[in-house]
Amino acid sequence: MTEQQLFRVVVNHEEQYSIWPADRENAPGWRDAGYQGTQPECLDHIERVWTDLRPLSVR
Amino acid sequence: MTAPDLLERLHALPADRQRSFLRSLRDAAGQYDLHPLTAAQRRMWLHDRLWPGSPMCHVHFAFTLTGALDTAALADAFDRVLARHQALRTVFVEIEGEPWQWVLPQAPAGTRLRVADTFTEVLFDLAVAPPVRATLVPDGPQRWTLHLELHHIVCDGWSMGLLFDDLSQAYAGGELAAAPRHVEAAVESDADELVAYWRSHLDGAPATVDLPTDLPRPLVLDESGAELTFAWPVALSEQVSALAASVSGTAYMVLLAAWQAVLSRYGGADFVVATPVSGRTTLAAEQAVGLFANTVAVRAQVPDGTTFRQLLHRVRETSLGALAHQQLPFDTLVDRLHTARDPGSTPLAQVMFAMESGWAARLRLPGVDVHGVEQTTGTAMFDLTLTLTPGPDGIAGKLEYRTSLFTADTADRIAGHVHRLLAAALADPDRPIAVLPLLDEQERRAIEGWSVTRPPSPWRPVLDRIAAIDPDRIAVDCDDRRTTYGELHTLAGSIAAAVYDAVDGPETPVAVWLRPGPQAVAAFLGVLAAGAVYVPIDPDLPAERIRYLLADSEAVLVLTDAATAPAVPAGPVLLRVEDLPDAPRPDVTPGPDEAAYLIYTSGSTGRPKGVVSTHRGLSNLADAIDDLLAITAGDRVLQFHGPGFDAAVSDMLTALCAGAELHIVARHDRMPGPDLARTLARRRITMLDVPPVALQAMDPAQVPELRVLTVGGESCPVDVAAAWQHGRAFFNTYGPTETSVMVTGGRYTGGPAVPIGTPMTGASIHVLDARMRPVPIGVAGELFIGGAAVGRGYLGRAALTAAAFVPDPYAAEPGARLYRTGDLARWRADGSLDILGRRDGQVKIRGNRVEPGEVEARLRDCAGVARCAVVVREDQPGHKRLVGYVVAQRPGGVSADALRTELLRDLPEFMVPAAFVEVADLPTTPNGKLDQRALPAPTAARPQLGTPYRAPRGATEQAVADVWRAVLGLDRIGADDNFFDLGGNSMLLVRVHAGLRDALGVQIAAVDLFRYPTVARLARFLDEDTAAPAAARTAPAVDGRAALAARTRRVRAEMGRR
Repeated sequence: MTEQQLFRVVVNHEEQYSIWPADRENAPGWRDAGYQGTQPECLDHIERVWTDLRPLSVR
Repeated sequence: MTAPDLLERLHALPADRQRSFLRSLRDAAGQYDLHPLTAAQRRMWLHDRLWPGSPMCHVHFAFTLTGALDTAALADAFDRVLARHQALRTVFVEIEGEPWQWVLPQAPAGTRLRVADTFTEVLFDLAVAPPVRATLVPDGPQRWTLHLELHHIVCDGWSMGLLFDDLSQAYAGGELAAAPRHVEAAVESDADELVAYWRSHLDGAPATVDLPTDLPRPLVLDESGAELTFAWPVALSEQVSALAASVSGTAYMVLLAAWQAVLSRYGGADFVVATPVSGRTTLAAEQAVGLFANTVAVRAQVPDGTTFRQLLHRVRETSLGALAHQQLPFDTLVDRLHTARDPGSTPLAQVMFAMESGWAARLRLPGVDVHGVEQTTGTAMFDLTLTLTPGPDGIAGKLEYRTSLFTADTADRIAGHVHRLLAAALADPDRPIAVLPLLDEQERRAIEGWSVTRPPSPWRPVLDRIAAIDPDRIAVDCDDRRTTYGELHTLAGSIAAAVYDAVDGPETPVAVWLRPGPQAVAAFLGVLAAGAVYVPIDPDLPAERIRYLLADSEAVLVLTDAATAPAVPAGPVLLRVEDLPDAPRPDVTPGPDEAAYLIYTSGSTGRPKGVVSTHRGLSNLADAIDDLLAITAGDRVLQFHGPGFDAAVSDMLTALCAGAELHIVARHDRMPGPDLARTLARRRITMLDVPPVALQAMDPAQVPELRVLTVGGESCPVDVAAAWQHGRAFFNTYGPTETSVMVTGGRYTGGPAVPIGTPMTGASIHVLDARMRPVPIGVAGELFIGGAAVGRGYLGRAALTAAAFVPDPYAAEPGARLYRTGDLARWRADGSLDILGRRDGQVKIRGNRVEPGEVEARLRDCAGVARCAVVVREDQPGHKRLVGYVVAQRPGGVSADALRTELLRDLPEFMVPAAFVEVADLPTTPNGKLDQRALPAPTAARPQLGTPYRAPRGATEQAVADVWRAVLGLDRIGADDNFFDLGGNSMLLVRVHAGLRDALGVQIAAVDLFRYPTVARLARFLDEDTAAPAAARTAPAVDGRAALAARTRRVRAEMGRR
């Protein structure tokens, strides 16, 4: 993966966040969280928005 | 006298006279037509010398001839061919160590076509006769087989075409003019500008290319080979021509690009492919039979994102460049580049690509149906040679492969990859190579099938499993104090009740700061049963590190006892396990996705990170271990791993979920080596899990009752596995902390490799490329883990978690995550897995996971250090160690023992560099990264210590110092030097133990080696103690315990991290 490759921030039903190559279809059960950028940018975004790392079902 | 007569006379002479006879011929070389060899011929000649009996250079075409053949005319035609081409009349003689080619004016009788009833392939002796033979074997009425054999030293592919043309023409009655003299037409050059061209073309190219081999590469090249043939449809060859034309290139370029593209997918963005060139740059050369062909090394560079069309343009450029500089012989190039020679692989290039014309089709005999093929030699010049022959019926192909590396199945898959990728690239040349398909349906399905062995069982809390075991059975045996399952369950229940009362809601982190023992086991179970999160604290960790773990985990409650409570810093609430009243287990069942335990691992950013695992993962681990190992209630399991490591959790589960006995001993009784062996034998341990390095210091014969042995944490050497698998079940296992300890395992029963086995229950394993697509069998990819084993993530670190735990596109259930391990792995053809290394800098030191970045961050904080680097070195094979390179604020202003002492305040012993080297500056590569290769190896000089050097005195001091010197690889050791300050560690201590036994005939317990860590102190102990019986010496004195405790803080033999 190159530095320039674009990723999207994605989130699953448990509100767990991750990143996914922007040019690929999402994996089943994952949806866009509305942010796209380089890998470091996406991870910075996640660091800001994902404040409770517990899955939704155990919060 | 004619030359054939000279040859006969030569052979009639005794050996010494032959030599002087040949010298006289050479002295009149012009008169007798003697010439030096070309570089290519010299290579063939040398090959015959080095590998006598090797058929590699034996060229053999066999033709089936059916019809009205005139055998006399064929023999006559062959005579005329021999007469036409000088090369077919040449013998190769050695004169004073130098090979010469000697052109005979006429072919000797032996090379003429002969008719024989049977045919046996016989290799040529180059010095006896021209290496040419034609044999016609009658097969029935109107049916013959014609065998044409030549040594490669006198021919090449082009020659065969000429030879068949000439034979056809002569048989049809045509005239053959004399051919040009090949010894003059073969032009080679080692001109400086040629060398400079190739040097620059190959500058920085890796020495080897990654290939999906089935077998470990032999230390010395084995030339055995086999060949696979295949045919591609004519439509494909038409598309090849069309694409070639669109870039003003040739079919050769398109096909070479396809081969390079496949090889790039096998793991290289940069590699070298050998390819033959005709070497016929003049008209004369085009008409002469002889060895003109040369091999050139074509560099392939396929950076990520390259499209097939871009690669094709590059191939066109490099091919044209290679053709323009083809006169430099390959061997001369290898010599001039001073390429590092590895006897296990061919220099410069290990793969070849060739495009051939259909030579055999050039033999045409009127009235005779001719069908010919080149016979395989059973050898392989390269690891893989792809030869493609486009023709009117499509593309005929063959793949020659080294049988010491590849199976026929793999060769078949490789050929399939080329076909599939080429077809897709031709359909859309502007797609990136990285996304072109390689796998066929069969291979894809095979890999898919291997990724899951057994789905997870229904989730079942661990304490429920333990509650179901006969309460009178022994659960824990610690220092011969026995605790039954009933007692353990009661104690765990009381702890659970107390914890439940003390914490506020589920998932509260609770630190367990206890020495290993039944209470520590009950505390683990009790914390889980209370729905809290188990945070094990190893009491032997440096105080600084414990403070960090407590703060980072935000543990509000600490379970301690009288021994550990005084050390706990102010803040959290303390609960002493020995004071708890009996109370029933609280009525709470944590859900499967709730956090169960928190284990800290080395973090690249400089601080350890907490890995959160779930109850589901823990329950699955119990099932997975049960399915793999089948431990029974009659087994005795040793708690080998210290608290704080996830493998300690699996030690407990292995024993307790099976109703077996968990044996807990003091740390010094499980030191790998004689102490561990004694413990295993005395306690009749039947099941043990250790890193493989721990086995190297023990003798399998000493522990006959050890029935099940698992290794993990680092790659297992074959000799260790081979030595330990006899008479017991030996399993190699793999798993990171992030996925609940173990996710693959396999029993080893012999063979040249020790794979990590297949996925264990509940885990799915994927080996993926950078785009998260499955890589072919045998190709390196990153190992991803899915399923029930996947943990929650890193405590309080969202970005780190999101980067490492990614969407699982392969799972049946939506929203699942995969853990990306950073480990490089590959599928073996039998569906088991090999681990190949790391994508990043993480290393394993004695089985423990270490991020050099974390050590570097701590070292940078040490007094006197301006800048530093920490790297792993393996200067002695099999002995990996961390080395710290320090740029001091003041030159000479740092000492090894001061750095060591300072780091030990913060870091466990295995993370502290074994050696420190002060450097004036840290070397960098042109792009500014640390140039690891330019860092000097630590010298054998005694490191700069705070202790002044004092020479050892007396026989005992001298003997001890000698043993240390050998073990530590130092040239000088002072009597007051501390073993650990010199870079010693617990594993090396085992070797000291063996060395002292050999040198002085004494058996010393490891604990005594800890107690007396300087030469002088150990020698004094040995001298004072020589009269005492050995048993007395091994029992630590009471006052020795304090010294031991202080020492063990510094010397930790923790081997637990997987």
